[in-house]
Amino acid sequence: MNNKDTYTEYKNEFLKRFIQNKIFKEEESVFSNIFGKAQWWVFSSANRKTLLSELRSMPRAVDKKAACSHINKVKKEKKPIVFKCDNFYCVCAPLLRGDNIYGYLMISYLNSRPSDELLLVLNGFTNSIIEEVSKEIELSKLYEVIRPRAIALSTIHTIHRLIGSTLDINELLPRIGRLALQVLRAGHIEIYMKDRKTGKLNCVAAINYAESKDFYKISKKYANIAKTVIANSRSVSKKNLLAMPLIEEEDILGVIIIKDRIDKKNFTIFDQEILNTLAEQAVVAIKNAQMYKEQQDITIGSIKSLASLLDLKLPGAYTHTSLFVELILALGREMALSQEEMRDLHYSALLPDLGKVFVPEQILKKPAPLDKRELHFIREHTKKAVEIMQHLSGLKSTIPIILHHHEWYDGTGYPNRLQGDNIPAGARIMAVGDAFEAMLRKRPHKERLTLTKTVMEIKSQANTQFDPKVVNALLHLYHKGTLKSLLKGHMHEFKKVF
Amino acid sequence: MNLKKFFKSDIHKKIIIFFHQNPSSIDTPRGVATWINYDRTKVSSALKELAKNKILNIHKAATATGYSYTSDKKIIEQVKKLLRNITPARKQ
Repeated sequence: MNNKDTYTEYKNEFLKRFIQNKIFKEEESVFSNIFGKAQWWVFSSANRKTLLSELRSMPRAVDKKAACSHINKVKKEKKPIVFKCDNFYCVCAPLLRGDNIYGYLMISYLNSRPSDELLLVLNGFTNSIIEEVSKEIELSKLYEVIRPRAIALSTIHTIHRLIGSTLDINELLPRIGRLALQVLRAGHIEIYMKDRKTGKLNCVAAINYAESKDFYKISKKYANIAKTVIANSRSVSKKNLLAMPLIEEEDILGVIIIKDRIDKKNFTIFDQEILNTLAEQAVVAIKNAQMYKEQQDITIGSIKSLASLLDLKLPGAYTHTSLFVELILALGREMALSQEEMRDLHYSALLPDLGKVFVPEQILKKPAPLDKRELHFIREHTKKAVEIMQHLSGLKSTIPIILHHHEWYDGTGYPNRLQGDNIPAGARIMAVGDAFEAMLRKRPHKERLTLTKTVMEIKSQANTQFDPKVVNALLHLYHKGTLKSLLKGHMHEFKKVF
Repeated sequence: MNLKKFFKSDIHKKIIIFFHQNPSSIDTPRGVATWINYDRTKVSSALKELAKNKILNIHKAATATGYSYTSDKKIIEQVKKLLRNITPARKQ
């Protein structure tokens, strides 16, 4: 659009708003009391041809040629004039702002010549309307320019919050994919990550909107394009495809490939910019998740090393089977625990009975029921575990779970006889997992139960020993076949329970 | 899913129009409330209803929930038709 077009567009907008302006309508009504049945007219141009055509549409006859010449005089002098036309008086004023005339206001068929004072008031009114209309247009233009940018900025901010709120890389990558598909209104996305040890490129998330009702299906259609992006360290842009490297300083972590806009149009430079911004945000989130995973692996590795050491001392006395850990995590997922709660549950499940190192070995090995003194020793183990763990700042949040995992839901457990939901959720889950594993395992003084009998036994203890919500979660896992699948992975230990 | 029903409610209609005009947008209830100038609590429950009816996609995370426009061409087409019907009625 050239300057002339912009000016014409502005002028038309100005006149439209001027005519619709409330103060203008009030001005018309106030002055009609003074002027009588005058005719108010707004002309867009002093151009003779246009003017004549506009004058022709006036309801009452007017000497058009005379009117034209008077309006032209207004155009030249840029100030209001009064003139006589067909035995009536007319006032013509320019709609002037700065040096620009946006139109002309004509009031015709006045019975008498208006006084100079009246003209001054009329001019003041008109100028204030011109100012208001100009400001209105400026604001409206500003709104038109700023609003879409503000909406885009808000989208970027929301994406930042959405991808920054998870540290689980397996959750993060598909989330980045879904958000990129949404923002770019595309149908297919693939995310490739470079293995840090081998340098091999793996497709870690692939989402296709059209292929599945659930939207998401793994595929590796564009691995070669990803390889090209990595090799050249630069993005690839085709009509219906964008491939962007995930760059962290000098290193390329992976590639995002997005394809097929849903409106079938080609990707634009603007789309490329958006994907670039998104890729930059994704890199930060991926690095955070990777660092978190590394830290988690170190913690888990340390706990496992400690468990291995204890297992060497007296196998099975201080540690649980890996089935126990898997069951606890399955129950946690079933109960929709948060990411932090799951992490604490995981750490706790790895070594919940650490405090048993203070229990004499002969008690732990005893093949018969324990006496009162021996039971006291055993019941102290949760408190003893806390004494050890309180020095490990990274594991402090697991202390409530470990301390209370022998509490009973009805308040008859130990060490604090906590009741109901006062027992930490993780501890209530651990209680069920502990009993489940114990019933399935052969103990010196007890025979193992079958899977079904174990589940039924736990069910019978809901509301007394166990939280009914956790029991329900266990029953759900049982009916879904999850428990059976978990046990199948540990056939060497639990094959007799089916 | 009855789109016409949602067009009878001003808040639902405004939300649909906002996302139809800004299909690349992903925003929280607070953001959408700002754009359509409505109370955040009301916007939040309207967004949930629209997401339940697949007119919007929901992006849930631990600390935020984002909403965005559907990519379902049929729904988008239906919205377009309803909007076409609304425009002349306003002019009358």
